[in-house]
Amino acid sequence: MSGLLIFGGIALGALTLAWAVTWWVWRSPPALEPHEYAFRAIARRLRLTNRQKAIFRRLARSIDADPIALLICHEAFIKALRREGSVSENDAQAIESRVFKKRRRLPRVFLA
Amino acid sequence: MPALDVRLRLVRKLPQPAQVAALESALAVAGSTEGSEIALQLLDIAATEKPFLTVTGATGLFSRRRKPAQAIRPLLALLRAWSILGEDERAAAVAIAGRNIAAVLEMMADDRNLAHRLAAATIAASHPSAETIPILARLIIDSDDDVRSAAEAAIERISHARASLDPHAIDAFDRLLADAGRTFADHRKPGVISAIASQLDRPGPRLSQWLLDEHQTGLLALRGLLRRDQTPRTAQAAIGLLNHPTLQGAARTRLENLTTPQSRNAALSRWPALLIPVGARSLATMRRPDDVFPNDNEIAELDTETRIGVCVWATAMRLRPADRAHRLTRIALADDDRSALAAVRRLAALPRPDAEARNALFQASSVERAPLAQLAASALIDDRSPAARTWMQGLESSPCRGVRAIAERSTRRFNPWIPVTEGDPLGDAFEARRALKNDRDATIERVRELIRRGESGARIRAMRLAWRLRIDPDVELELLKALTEDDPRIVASAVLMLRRLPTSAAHSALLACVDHADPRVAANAIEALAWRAPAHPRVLLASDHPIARTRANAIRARLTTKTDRDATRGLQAMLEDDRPEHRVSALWVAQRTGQTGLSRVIARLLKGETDERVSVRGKRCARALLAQLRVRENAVIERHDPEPATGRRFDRLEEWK
Repeated sequence: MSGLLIFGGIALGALTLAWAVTWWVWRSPPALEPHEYAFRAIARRLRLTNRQKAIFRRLARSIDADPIALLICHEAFIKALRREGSVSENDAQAIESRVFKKRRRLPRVFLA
Repeated sequence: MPALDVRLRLVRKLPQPAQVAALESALAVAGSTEGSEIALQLLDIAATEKPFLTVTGATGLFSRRRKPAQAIRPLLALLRAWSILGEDERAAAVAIAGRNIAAVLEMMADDRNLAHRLAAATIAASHPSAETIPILARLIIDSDDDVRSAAEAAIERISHARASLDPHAIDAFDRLLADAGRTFADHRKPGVISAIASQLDRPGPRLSQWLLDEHQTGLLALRGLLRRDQTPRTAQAAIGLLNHPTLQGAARTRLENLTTPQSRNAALSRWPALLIPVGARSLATMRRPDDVFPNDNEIAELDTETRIGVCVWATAMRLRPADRAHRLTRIALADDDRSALAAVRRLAALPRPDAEARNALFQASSVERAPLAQLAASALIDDRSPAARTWMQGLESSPCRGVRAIAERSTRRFNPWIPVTEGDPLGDAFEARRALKNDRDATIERVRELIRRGESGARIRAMRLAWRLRIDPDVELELLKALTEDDPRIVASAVLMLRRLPTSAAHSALLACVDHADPRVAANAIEALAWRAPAHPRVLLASDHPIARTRANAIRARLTTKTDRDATRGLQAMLEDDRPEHRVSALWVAQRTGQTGLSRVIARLLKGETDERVSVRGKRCARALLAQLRVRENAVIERHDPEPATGRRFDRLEEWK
């Protein structure tokens, strides 16, 4: 019986600690600027390479915008691409296909 | 599925600050198609944020209050991008912002980004409200001239749209103009002065105070603008400013330069402002007064208000008597009743009417419009000229009954041997005084006889005549005897006529009549007693009398002494009485004695009143008290005292008038 109580107490304490840490992380402000945080988060979700992220940053500087703006707006991306001019065609196409083109999922049978 | 949707869905999975920052950055560089999608996303975030809402969990343990910054962050992002948004998106953003827009605009005005401060000015101009207008007071003294110019343009735009603003926004705009006027030395924007000039015909309380402060730099600019401006609006405002201590001179200069017919007519039609003597006196000192008036051909095309204005101006200005009479005559002979009445009234007041003015009165007295004809005939009643006498004799066959009576009276006045009409003892007071002077004893005897017997109406008229001729001591016995009559009307009149008699018999009779069965007699007895001695114990006791009329007379008498502080409390108690007839009488007393101090009680009474008679009397009372307050307010303005002491009472009564 006492063992059960001890085990229950430890479990409860662990749960409380986990909740407190989660709450603290949730409430604490992000260390990054919000738009930079957004850029990194979405770039990660889109699986951009470091090279592609660097290209986005370079393009954003050329039109005096934030990188996240180019990641969301295709028109702005095209405009920056034309203005910057030094991005290779391969890189541009790779970014186009990863970020802005409609992607089709492969049927499950091919994933097996 | 379009790719933008996918990316926006990824954005919406981020924490709120990151969402807003990402969308705001994207909105700044987006084209029209993508921009509208992004703006919709921001609107969606703003709409789902419920500012200042307490989210309470089941136990209260998880409750938290959303920070204001979190609530207004998406709004701030939207409004910063104001120039990019479409019309629908702008309207939606303002609607979602609601009252938070004031806080958002504050943050935009503090922003170091010039475009954001410009956007704040544009928002205030396009959506003027009590929340958006105050921000312009800060923007007009901004460090950047572009922002100051944008704020100036916004103020001008709002001044043009003032009529469509709600009362709170008008109040905020009034405060803004006063603040912007006060800081004129810092911004030097002429648009602010133009906006102030456009409000001069009805300035709010704060702008009025600013206008009274002679040390304001902006006032110099305003005077200059008033002198130079040629629009009808400033001409109209200038009339009201003739009473104004700091703008009087500039207003007079403006009125001396009424170059266009529109300006002239606008100024003439604002004639009620000249009813305040200061304004009329100021107008009298104008140079070239003849240039102001329309010529004979133009008069026919003027509207009623402008024609009345011609009459008022012609009376107020320093004109040659012949010129004044000529202008009034043109209006008096017009078809319009109101302006013709105004002209005839002024023609009648001329000290020495010339032939033209007299002819105009002759013609006006022969028209079939009763008020005009009577007024003109009354003006001729004392005219001793042979032409006037002949004309008045002709008027005895006028189709208008009132004119015929005036003509008969006039004829009798100049020919006393004509017998008086039936039922009118001793004719009018003029005739009676003449008779009293000629043969006092016979006249007194005749009045006694009329009081003693005859029909009730004639006996009461005879009592009143005795009072007017001050021969009531000579008819005291008849009055005392009349107290024993059965007709309460005669008794009530006799009681009232006894009030001036100092004898103990009269006093005892009055005391006895206080307890008379007829309420009219009792009320008159209290009135008569109060006339003799307002602090008489019977008068004080009658303040709680069960008969409304008696009680009202007692309270009224006590109020007129101005030393009896309990009288006001007594009137207040009567106003709050359960019996409707007591409330009606109390409202009558409040009206007659001008109890503006009880306006709150009267307004409260009317708010919950169900009795029709009380409501009718209450509205009449409220109207009368309002008129008194207005007169006082004008007097305050005239004394150059900016303190609007009567303002709050004024507002309370306004809704019940």
